[in-house]
Amino acid sequence: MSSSFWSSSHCLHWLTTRPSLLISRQVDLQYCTPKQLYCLNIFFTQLIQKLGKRLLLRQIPIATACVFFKRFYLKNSICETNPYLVLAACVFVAAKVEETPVHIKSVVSEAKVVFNEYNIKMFPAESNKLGEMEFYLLEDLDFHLVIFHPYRALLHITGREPADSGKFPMSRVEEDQMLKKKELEAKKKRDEESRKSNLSVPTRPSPSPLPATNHGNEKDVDEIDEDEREAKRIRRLMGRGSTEGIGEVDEGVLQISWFILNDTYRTDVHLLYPPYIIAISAVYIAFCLTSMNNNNNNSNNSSSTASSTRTRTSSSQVQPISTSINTNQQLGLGQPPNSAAEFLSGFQLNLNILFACIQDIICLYSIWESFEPATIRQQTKHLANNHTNQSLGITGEEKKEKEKEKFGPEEAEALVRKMIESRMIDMGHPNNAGLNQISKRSTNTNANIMDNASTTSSSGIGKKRARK
Amino acid sequence: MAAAMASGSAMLDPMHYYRAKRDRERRTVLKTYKILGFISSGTYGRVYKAVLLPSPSSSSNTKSSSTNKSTLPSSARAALSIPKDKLPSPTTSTSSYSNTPILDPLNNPELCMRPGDLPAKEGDVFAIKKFKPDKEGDVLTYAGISQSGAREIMLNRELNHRNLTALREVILEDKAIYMVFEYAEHDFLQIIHHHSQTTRTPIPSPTLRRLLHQLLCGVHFLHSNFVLHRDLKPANILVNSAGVVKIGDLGLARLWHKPLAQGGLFGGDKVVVTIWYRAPELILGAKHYTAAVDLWAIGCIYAELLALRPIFKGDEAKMDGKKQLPFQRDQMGKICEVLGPVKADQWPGIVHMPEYKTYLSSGPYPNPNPLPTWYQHRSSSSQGYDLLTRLFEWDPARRLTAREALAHPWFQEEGGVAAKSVFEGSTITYPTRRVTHEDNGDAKMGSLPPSMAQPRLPSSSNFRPASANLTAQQPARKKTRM
Repeated sequence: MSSSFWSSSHCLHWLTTRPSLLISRQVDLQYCTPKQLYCLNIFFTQLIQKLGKRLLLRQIPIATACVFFKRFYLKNSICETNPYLVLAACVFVAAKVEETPVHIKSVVSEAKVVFNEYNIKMFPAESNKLGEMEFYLLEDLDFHLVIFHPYRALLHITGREPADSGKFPMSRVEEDQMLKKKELEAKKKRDEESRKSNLSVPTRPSPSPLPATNHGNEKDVDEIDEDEREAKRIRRLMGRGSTEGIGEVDEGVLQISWFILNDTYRTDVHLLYPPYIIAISAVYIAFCLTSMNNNNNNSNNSSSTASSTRTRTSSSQVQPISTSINTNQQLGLGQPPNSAAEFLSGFQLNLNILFACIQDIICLYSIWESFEPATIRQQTKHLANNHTNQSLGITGEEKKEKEKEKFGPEEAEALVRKMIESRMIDMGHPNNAGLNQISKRSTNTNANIMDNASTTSSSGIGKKRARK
Repeated sequence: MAAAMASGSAMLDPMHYYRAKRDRERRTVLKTYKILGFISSGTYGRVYKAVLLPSPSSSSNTKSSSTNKSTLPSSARAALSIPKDKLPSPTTSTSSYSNTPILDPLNNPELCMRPGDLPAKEGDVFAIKKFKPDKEGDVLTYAGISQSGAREIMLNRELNHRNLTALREVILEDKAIYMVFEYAEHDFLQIIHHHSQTTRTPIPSPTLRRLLHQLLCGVHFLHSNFVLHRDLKPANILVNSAGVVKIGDLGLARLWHKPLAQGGLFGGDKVVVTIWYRAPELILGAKHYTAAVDLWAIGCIYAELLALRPIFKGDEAKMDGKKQLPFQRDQMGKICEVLGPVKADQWPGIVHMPEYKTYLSSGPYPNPNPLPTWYQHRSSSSQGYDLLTRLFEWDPARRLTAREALAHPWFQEEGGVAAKSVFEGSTITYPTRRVTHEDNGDAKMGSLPPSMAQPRLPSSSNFRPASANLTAQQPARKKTRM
């Protein structure tokens, strides 16, 4: 269902496990190392993003295209397909699904431009090829096209958008206030009428009904409210199922979380974890990053979670923290949590899963950095990257070493070509011959990974994780 | 598998192997279903009645003529070096099936179901909606699935409710999309026709109440899933033989909780809802509208069930090739004839509507409000009248929501709506859906051999306007059609 993640096709059919993810990649891993495959995924995501931007798509359709692409390769191998055609088809379908359709011909022509930049010649620039791929893609997606992205979960969690936004014309507080006001007016009317009848004065409606006396009346009204309306009111408010006023996160943290979510589309987390886990992971990382910055500034060495003195400076956005406190007070709820740890512990979730997801996201940054140094990708440059660099303490020497074994976009493009060619040769040979070749190749490449892995510590983590 | 592969030509196209594999696994419509006849057609394509075949190995009554297109291109067949007799081909269809074991997933429809497909058994009846394939001259090509096709697949695949037509599966074949829906014997339009043309009696009020209630249940479900239907009309609301209402045709429906792109709801589809059922805010050019547009349509359907003819039967102003959408003056006039012109206190927001000035200048509209008399001729329930007026609320913000409508006391009158079947207690038997046997230019989907095919019978004598995006949007269609 499109309103509940738990009954959606996303939840029921498209969350997988790491072992099955590895199995789905076995064929590709015969032709490249796990790290190279990881880099290829970064590469393809980059291309999807570029193509999406050229087609003036927003982040959500781009994100949807990324998930389609990942899902497609759960069932297929890069080396047995044309990944560039597949990714163009993913963008094409995602644009339709997210209601910002683009014409098939503009997808083809823009894709041609993007792929030219990377010297990719494999893309067939014909719209009927793309249309045909769309059919295959839909089939391999089992026609499940509704995707739950963590962006919405992030906005709910951080109190930026009520879970039911759009369903109701006004917020809970507005509705509550309006009803109270109505009741107040009704009461006033009743009071006035009774007073008038008591005094038996010939009626001459007084123009505005005395705002001065309001304050005196308010208490009585509230009491009556409690008597008559409280049960009904609670039921109504609960029925809204809103998360308004539950949590409040600083604007800066939200920004970083959002950027981290953008980055997660380079990883496999969207195949492994439900969106709310991914969103909370992003918030967690963002909290850590900001608190580490604070620590550096204050030269304060307390542990990262405890030092969650949130910077409440830049809250220019929708709901500053005060409104959240107000909301809670007005609705008779408790104070919102005031530390990051308290905030995170408010979500009842399995910490093992949360940390596995966080780990998966953190792994990305060092590998990404080695694949495409931050100076090249300017649009995505932000705090998180800078930070991982700092914390890893990469020295100049290591950088030089890395350059020697550079695996960047150019190499990625060459690798894709090589993988496909090798696969075809293997498919064309009698069984035995093919197998021999594979085993030879894989020992070679294995040696390569070992070298690569020793350069940076965290790519080692990535490899270990991938091997699990 | 398929180790020996002709490498020469394959080197050029990395998709060669993939395509061959996919094509081999693809199941065909006609291997799975037997077409019983043609139901209806529209600009989107055609709908056929079909029955699920037994798995091929156990039967021999399948039509051999229909599988005249092998699913595997000959090049792929050569590449995979699959013996010819293992492939379905016109001459070998039945004989070759008997050699293959039942458990071969490629020949047993039940074993190649996808996750999310609905189970079914041999002999179950379905309605297959075939989207018209794109053509370049006379040659079929892939030009991309249309936006409405993509929506329908996306939403029907995700949503599941008693009052929605269930999508059993989607099959892609020969550059066309086939959506296999559960079959519904009746629809609101046919029920209305039966009463107005054949029996000449009003619809019994318990039946009417349950029809409307189940319709609202389905719409409430859609709205709570953030889906606007945007094309509710009697022809799109089906009723199966068990008397359960099934809302169909989500081709104009869309999800709206997501961050909306530039232009909001208006951005994608300039015209929504068939003219007679179009809400006043849409006629007045609202760019941001709400679920209330569906509730207006339900009001119109309610009135039509009572009166057996459309309540606001306006003529659609066509676009004259200009880019600007015309103001639907006649339709607005028809609404005002019944409800009276809009008063300021009924709809304060009307002054902000883009076409408000056009509305004023296209007046004067007749003053009397015949809705009470209109209603009294047809029913005496004051609750029923109350529900109707609240659905015909000018101001979309004041119009009942589906949820509020379901709680309306009218539904509790006369024994309520607890009965599962809308027909319960009624002695009227409605005719079954008319199915014709002409193949109508689509030889593949013909249910009879060409020699026996009859000329096409008109399915309905009454002309009805088509869905909004299919007529008025014709010039804009190129744009949205991807």
